[in-house]
Amino acid sequence: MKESDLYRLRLEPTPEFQRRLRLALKAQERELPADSAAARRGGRALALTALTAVVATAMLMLTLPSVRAGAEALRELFRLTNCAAATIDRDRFNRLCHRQT
Amino acid sequence: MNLDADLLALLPWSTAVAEPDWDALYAQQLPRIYNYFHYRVGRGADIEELTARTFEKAWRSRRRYRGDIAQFTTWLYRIARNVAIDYRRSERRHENIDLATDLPTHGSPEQELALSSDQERLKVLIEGLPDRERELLALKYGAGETNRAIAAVTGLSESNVGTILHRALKTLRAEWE
Repeated sequence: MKESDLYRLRLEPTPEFQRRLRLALKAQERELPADSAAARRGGRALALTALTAVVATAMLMLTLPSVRAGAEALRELFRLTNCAAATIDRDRFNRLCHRQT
Repeated sequence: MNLDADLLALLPWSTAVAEPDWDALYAQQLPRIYNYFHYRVGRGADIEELTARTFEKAWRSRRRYRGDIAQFTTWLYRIARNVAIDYRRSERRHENIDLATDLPTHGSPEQELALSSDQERLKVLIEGLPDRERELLALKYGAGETNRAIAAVTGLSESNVGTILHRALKTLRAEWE
């Protein structure tokens, strides 16, 4: 037995099979991009719907007096309402300025 | 046969992002994968089905590899290996179930006739090899791959591939005598 005998066992796929598989692959190719585009569109629509629902719910809740009052109280925490004057030591202030320069 | 050189010949304009000629690649790889299964899973197996399954899996994600066709073919053979492993696993299950009823008929006139051809005899000898030797034999003589390419597909070293193939040939020759 020679090494070349091992190559002689090779078979040629039938032209019919080659053609059939090529067609199947092309069909698969046509289906896949459509599927992924549809999936992307579906994902975007879902995200948009979720965002709209969150905004609508928040606005609806603000129409309730108790929620509205709570939100206003929270806003008040960050509002500047009182100012008070403070005395400063001008010499010390100047010294600090000089040190920085 | 130098696979990389063949592939470069198919893709003369090839750059990192060029779209390869998938049709040419298909025409080149189909007989190789087909013969890989022919040597790997043996007689009685639906080689066409296994080849189709491999290509369908690989073709789905092939664009990931458009910058590196050599890597794509390595990946293609890895898929083929897994398909062959799955097939053999399912075959073993069937063998266990059918063992009691489907005993081989050694020495029957039909079998003697089939074995009279040298090629048939060689096929039987290949089927008797250990799994790993048969795997490498299928990649070398069925798919026509180089030892280096086989090493990339199997994860073995190139010298190890050479040693196992040499051992397989020695076994076949001894059985042939």
